[in-house]
Amino acid sequence: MVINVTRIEKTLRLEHQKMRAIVPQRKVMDIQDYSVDDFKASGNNLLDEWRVKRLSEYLTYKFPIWRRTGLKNLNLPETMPYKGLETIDLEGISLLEEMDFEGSDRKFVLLADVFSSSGDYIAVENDTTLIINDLSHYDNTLIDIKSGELNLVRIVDKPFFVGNLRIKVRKEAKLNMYNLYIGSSNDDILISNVFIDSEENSKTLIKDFYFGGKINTGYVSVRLNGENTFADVRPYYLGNSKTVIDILYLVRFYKPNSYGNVDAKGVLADESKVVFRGIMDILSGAKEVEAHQSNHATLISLKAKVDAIPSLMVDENDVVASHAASSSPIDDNMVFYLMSRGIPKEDAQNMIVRGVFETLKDELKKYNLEGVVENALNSVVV
Amino acid sequence: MSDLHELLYELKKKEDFELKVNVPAALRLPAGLNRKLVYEISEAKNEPAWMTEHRLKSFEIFEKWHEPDWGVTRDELDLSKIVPYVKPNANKTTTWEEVPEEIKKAFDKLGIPEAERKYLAGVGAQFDSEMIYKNIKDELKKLGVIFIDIESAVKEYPELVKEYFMKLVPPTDNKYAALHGALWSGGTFLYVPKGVKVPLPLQSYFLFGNPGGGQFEHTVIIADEGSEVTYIEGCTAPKYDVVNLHVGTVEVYVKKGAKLKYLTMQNWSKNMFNLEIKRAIAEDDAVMTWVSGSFGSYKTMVYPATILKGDNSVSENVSISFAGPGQHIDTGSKVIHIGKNTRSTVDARSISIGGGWSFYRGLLKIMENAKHSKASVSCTGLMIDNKSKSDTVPIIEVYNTDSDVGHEAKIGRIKDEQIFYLMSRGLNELEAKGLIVKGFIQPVVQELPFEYAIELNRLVDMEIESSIG
Repeated sequence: MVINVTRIEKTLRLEHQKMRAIVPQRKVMDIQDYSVDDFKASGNNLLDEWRVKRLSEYLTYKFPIWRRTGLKNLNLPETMPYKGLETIDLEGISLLEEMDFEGSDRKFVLLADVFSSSGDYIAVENDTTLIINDLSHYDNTLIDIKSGELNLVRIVDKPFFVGNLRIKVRKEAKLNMYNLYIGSSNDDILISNVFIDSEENSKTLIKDFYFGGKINTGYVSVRLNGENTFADVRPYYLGNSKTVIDILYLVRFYKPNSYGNVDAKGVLADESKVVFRGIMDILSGAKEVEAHQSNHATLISLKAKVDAIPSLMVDENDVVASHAASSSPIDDNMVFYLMSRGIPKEDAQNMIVRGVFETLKDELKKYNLEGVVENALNSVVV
Repeated sequence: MSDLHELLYELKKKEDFELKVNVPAALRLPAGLNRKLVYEISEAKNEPAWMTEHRLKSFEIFEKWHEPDWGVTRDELDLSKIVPYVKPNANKTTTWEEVPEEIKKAFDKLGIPEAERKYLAGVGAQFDSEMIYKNIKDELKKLGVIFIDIESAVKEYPELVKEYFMKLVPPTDNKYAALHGALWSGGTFLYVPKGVKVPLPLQSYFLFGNPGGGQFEHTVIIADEGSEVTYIEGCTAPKYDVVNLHVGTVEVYVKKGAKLKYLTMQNWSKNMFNLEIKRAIAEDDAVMTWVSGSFGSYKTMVYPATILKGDNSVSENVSISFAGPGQHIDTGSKVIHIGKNTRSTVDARSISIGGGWSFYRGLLKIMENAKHSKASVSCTGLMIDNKSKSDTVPIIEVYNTDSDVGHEAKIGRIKDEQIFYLMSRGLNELEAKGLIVKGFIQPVVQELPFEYAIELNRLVDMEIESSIG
């Protein structure tokens, strides 16, 4: 088998013909980092060869400072024995090379690649349901959906988490995924990087839920790399206390006739903050694609904050591309309507907040996991 | 050839937009940036000591500042090769008869003296680094309206200038603001007293006549309480085969209850780096309107900003930017809501054609105390062909719960059905596209005085014809 040439899927493509735009500089923190001595062999030479290459790149970077998120410092835990992709074969390594990506920051992607202590390499050929809830603080998972449909639920509830999830959705295959990112204390830091590479006629449905922690960040990049690919991505966020939820959703269209939709919504209480970054990127040649993106934040506290950066980047004119973003308090008209039906004001407001997450909760019932969202809601509204 | 083609051909032959100006300069300071040169500019202008000091301090800040780490790349821009000060061989005057023939001819071509007679309340004309003409109708002068070049204001109204000059855009703002603070030359000082409503627009026109030159004009406008005024800024230059630089700065103070409309029509030649800073501050009940048309330049970075400091203040921002072959146009808007019940709208439209790249970059910030504010941002990108690129990256920061904020953006092309329909009515393809584009830029066009609207439509026809014709 020929190993494909590495292609890093960058987050921003700031080039056009001979023109370039300046890429903003990373600001970095000076903290105690891992060294070569922290490297633990996996027992799979093929994998370790790849990991050592990753390690050499890892050591060239410092950890980033994220101003909007408030990430200024990190205390890295002791590394644990390697676990993750140890069952990987040549085909899997080839996939890893093909599915390299920048993530929310390259340093975190490399960190999980090199030092993971949980994860798996999974090939799916028939309709499968997977629930992953035994993640360690560094996780690295690679899934290859060769055919059929994968229903995947991932629960991330570690106090400190940095994880990579790469999924290849091959021709005609389908991914239906739920990620529940739950911080349980005010010190938790969750940093998740997800990269989906989808081929023609495939279908990707994602619903993510973010709640709790000090910093709860999710990066999801979907590469629509075939004709007639479909991706519908729905991030939900519920902020309380001083949580900062920082999410980036990128859908990049390479081929014609594809459809991509990112529809984010959430509720912010207390002094919480959400940073929503959405990028719909349409390459030249991706004709007749449809790209939509929206974000709606409902603020129920005077001190809640929203930063929204919904971007469209378009190199092809034969497309339908739009985005919308809004933030507002609870809609008075909705409250009024419910009150006119005899529901007290406070109950009406709570119903509206709960209503935002209703679809997600319904879908999670299938996996008996609606309680995760319900518990989160109970700690924010009555 | 259709009538439109013939018209365009004729227009091109006339070279209305390809000005050739050949006027020897009275003083041309050498290229290169250093303290001595900054001092020499101040000396050439015979400035008071405080201004010399301001320039030197700005230069110190410039030397310490790093390049902004965003926007267009500026590799081709070698600041050490820019000629920062070219004094035209003309005295400042208030009558066109005294303007040297060659320069007057250039402004004639642009229709400035004629426009002044017909529909402007006052006109300023800058050639290279200095304002060479400034005039305002007598009745406005009597009402206390001050409309003079900024060098004269430094000498005649030092206290007013000290109070407002580079207070909204301080030299510490960024590297180019510091550069501007050191090298500024020419520009307008406009003061409209309390309650005075200026019935016709005032205009300044900036013309560039020197290869490799930099233009650093500074504009300060103060619309005092309850006053109203419209100001038009026009920019153009003949094309040279070396890089020219324009770092203009505009500071607008809209006092309580005042209304100010600032229109810009920028058609710099395609060798120009256009890095402008435009900022306004609006007090209680004030209304600030930016209307911008960005057609020319090689690379542009300009983001007109309004700080809504006062309660019930309003900001409107309407813009159209045009990125043709080889052009990288990075424009946007900035609105910061500080006061209560503030309102803002942004309607940003861009056209990409012939491989051009238009990039919308915006910031909308609603501060904690800006209760009951409303803001909407709308970005629309029209991609005429498949070689071009259109990006939109708005940043929206909402820091209070009582405000309604909405944003929407769309990027697309002219649909075949639209062209088909117009062609079925007897237009050819080019005319059909031209008509659709003109419809697209209508919100900007309708803000312009009639004669300017016609010029803008002509300009659009020419740009489209030269890009896809």
